Amino acid sequence: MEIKRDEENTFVHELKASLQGSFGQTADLVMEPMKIAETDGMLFYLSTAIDNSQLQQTLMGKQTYQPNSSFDLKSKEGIRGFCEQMFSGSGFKFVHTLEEVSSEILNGSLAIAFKTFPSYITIAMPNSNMRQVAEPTSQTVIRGPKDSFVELASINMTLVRRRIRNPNLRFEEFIIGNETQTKVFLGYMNSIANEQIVEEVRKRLNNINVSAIFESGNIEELIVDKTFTVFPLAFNTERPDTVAGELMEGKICIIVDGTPFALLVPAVFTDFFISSEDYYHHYSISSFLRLLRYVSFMIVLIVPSAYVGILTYHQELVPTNLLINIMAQREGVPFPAVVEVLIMELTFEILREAGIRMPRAVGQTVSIVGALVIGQAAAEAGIISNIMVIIVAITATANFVAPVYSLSAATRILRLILIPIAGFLGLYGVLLGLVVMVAHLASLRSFGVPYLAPIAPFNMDDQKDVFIRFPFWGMTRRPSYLRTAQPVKQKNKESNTPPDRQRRNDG
Amino acid sequence: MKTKALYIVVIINLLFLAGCWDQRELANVSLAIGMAIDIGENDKYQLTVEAINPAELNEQTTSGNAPTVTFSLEGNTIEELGQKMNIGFSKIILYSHMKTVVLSKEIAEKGMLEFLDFLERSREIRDDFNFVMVDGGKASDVLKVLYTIQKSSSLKLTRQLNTGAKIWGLDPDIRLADFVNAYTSMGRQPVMVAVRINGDPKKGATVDNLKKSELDTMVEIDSLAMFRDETLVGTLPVEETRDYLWTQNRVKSTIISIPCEQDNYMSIRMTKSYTKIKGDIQNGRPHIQLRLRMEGYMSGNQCNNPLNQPSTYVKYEKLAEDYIKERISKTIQQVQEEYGVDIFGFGEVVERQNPKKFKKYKNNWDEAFQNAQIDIEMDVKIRRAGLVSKGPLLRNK
Repeated sequence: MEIKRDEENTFVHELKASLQGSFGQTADLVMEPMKIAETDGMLFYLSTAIDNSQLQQTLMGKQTYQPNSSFDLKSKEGIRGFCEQMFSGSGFKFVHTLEEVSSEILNGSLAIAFKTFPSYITIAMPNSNMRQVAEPTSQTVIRGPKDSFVELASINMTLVRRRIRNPNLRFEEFIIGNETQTKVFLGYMNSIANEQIVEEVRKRLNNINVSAIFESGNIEELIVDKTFTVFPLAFNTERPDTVAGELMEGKICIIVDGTPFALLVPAVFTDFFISSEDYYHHYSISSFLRLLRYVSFMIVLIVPSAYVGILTYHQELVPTNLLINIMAQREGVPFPAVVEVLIMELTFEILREAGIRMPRAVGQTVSIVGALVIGQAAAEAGIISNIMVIIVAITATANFVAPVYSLSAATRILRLILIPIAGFLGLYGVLLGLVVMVAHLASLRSFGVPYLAPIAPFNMDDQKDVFIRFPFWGMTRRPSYLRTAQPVKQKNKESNTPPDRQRRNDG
Repeated sequence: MKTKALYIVVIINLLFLAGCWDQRELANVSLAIGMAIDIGENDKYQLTVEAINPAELNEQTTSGNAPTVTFSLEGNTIEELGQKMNIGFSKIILYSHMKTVVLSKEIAEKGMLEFLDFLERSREIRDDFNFVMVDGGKASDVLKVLYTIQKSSSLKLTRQLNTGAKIWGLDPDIRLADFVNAYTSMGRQPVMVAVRINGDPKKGATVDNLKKSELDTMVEIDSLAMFRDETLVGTLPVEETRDYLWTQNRVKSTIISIPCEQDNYMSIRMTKSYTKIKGDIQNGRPHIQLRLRMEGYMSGNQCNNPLNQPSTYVKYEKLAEDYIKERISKTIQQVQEEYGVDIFGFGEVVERQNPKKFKKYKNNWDEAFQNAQIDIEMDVKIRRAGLVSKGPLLRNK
């Protein structure tokens, strides 16, 4: 809507009417008349979106500006010059349509309308009062940076930018959510990331057509290749170092305003067994821990169902003495093994969910009740056998080994599916279930990248950073499945050798 | 969408229809840990099964009752009897953990081993249980004799045989697979360990037996039973079992006492022993060459020979070589002359090394074995003298 210029005052009144029309009687909309050097104008802003101290700083002294100074505020040129001098550096803009003004105000801008000036002036001063950058809560490490993302996208980008001081680090802004107008940033290394994958992510982000986005989880479900799967097809992290590291590998991050969890795509299955800490510790312990995570994954998946299968169908697989012990313990247990396992696994899931949800103050009570009453007392009462308590405990503990919650969530679900199958078909069923699971995994894609890469399709060079981590001097290439623009990370392939050995080698 | 729904329905129904058919809930199962086969009074066999009472074998749940329960039935096939055991037992009997099968001497003498077919055929029964003959008395009595540590007789017996074979070479630790292999081989005759019940079987079958430090009744390793095909031909005493095992390269470690002076002995703990056999047939007579190499250390010395002098070692090595050689050749000779069955598997050696020559003797190898010429080459090395070189006996002088 173009602004008419026939009458003075029109600009102010028009904006006022328009804002009142769109914002209604909302309490946080402030419309204050103001006067700078005899020129009438009006301030418009949302008190909830604006930084108050910045507002005061910006306007301080402006009202006392004398008309006999160098700018004639009665004229258009004068106002333009005045703004350029007074507000430059604070993000001021001349805005010509009422819609733009309204959206600027929503984003935390101050809007000024002058009687005499045909455009509106907006100055960005968004409220950045937010939780401090603190330690990550869900992806903690022993050694490594202790900062984590916060709910403000601009700070999150700062945290990444601080780690990659490179002009090739690009952030593209998307406004997603028809009603919420959430800011979403697509970050990638222009020199490294595969342009086609970036374009695909752009396309998928642009295709999103929902009313509200509050968390990166919303985006994740809307952009992944397949939603009918328990496996996470996008990696989520609250760690800026993880994001920075993966960007340097050629991945693409999506930072959503309002949540500390950023997405990393494309994600492959093996990513979920990697903690950023792996790169900070010595490679021997990192490799061991990685293998441990794979083992734990299999423990969570298989141990309860294997217990059911072996005890109901394949007693001959158990060493005799162990079987005798299990039999002695299970003597009075009234339920079949499958029911026993389901009872205990469900009990644990209840405890776990309660542990997350319950108020801090009663937390201890619940854990005591859970551990004692349900574990020990149930075994003593003869409802379950002692060995069952061990099975649940090892499964539960192993589940917490997963560095990313979304994969451990997937294993929890699969485990509960495998248990009844083991009850019906024994170990044969467990194996069938695993075969189906692997077939399903092999069918998945994350932004066109096979989910099981680099194991299927297999790539020898990528194995340096999958099950074990090679020393840094050995990891010379970026993951081949990401098809990066710069496949080679670094050239030097040798570790340092002490000088005396070098001499010997030369001679 | 319709096909997907159909798939899901089919899969769920498959679970219910195809699943569970061989389900045996652990609570409904009793483990059969041992089996004894006697000749039946009215029918061909009498089968006794030893099932365990798991609560008694667990430290925490034990209440002092009998750890096992046995039940006997008569019938013509073992397989049917095995499934009919519920005439007496309450739960499904599971045979996959069976540790021992005990035969009575009568069965072995009459060669009534037709049940071998079932034992090998059954998908539930493994082929690694111990095959044992009881010399004197009923086989079922062996299963009833309780023992303080393992409680169950079969568990004790299998552990005992295992340990005995490892530690001294007391028994050949013959499992079903070994027995069947020897039985089906043209160049070898089967053996198995024979045990005896020392004491009153009735007393051994009560928990009271467990409350004494000197048990009233014990099952002891007796001898090595030799078979011609399925029939028992005789037994070798325990001492000669080791000689047999030496020829089989199956002595892991043993200790041997050798006279070095009048009424005084020195003993060597053999930690290694290797046996190589060469077999050939020359002029219609099998020639078997045994080459034994042994290594060990002195574990005792009653004689007046200081062990800090190399000459003593040379002397003792020579003594040991002669002594062991003498033992082994005597044992082989005894088997050749008295029993005429090639339990040593020399025929197999000849078959492996000279298959064409063996072919002629394939069907009557045992006759050829009886006049086989056996050459034994011994090489004993004594490596160490233990903690002292001059023992207290010498230091006292």
